Amino acid sequence: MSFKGSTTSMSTISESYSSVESSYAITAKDSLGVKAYTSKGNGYKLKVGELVYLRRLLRVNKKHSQTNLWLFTGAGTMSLERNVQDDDHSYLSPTLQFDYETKKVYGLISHQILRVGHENFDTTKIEGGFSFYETGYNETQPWFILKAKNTNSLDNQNEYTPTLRFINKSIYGEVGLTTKGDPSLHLMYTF
Amino acid sequence: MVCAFCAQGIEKSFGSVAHVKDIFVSLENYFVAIESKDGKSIDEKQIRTIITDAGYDVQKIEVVSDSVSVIREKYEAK
Repeated sequence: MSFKGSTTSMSTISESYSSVESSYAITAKDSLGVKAYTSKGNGYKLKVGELVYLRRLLRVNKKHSQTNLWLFTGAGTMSLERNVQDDDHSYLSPTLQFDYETKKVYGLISHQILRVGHENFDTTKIEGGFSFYETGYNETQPWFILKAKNTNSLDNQNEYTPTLRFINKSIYGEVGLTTKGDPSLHLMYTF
Repeated sequence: MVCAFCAQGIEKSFGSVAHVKDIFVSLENYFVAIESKDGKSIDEKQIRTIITDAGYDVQKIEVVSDSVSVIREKYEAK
């Protein structure tokens, strides 16, 4: 989510997870959007379409840092395939995300609750990294971020993805490679 | 104001205001310079609203005689 009246669109492509989404900032603190994604692991295949409401619960702007607390709420339908079984479910899924950044350091922790039927796909993410150097407003800033993620039922163990992030004003891009050797690509743009 | 992706909202928001001639965002020095078109002025309340809607807080608003291009040249040269 960016500024009031903006539209932020993003896409992620990786071996186990791919998504596309777009949201509109109704106010400086609220946005509404749509998201579609597929996710797989451990014999599960998920196909999801959801409406997403994002609320910025807290922002602390200091001279050298910014701290945010966000609440994402997704309401959608999931096509859940496991072995030969294929079921459709509706769900409501909240995610709480805390992030902190300076010009040189970044950190994020989030937890999503996603339960459908008897299945638990709760996801925890922890990310941290640093910028190689500070840049001016019109320059591309490179970052190194280490991402850790675990999704119940889909992951037997934590997934680690060393990632290079590039930010140039409206464009936010990431290229990563999991420790299993799977590439991932993420692109975000604000109109 | 620590990230260009977040701060670009300030530039885009002021860019859509009819009376704004030029904008300069300085992450290094934590300020935004706005120049109004000749004979026009920008209301301080409007400035505060735009900054707040972009997700930031206003610490201080100061009127200076330099144009944005002069300020840009001065601070980008550093």
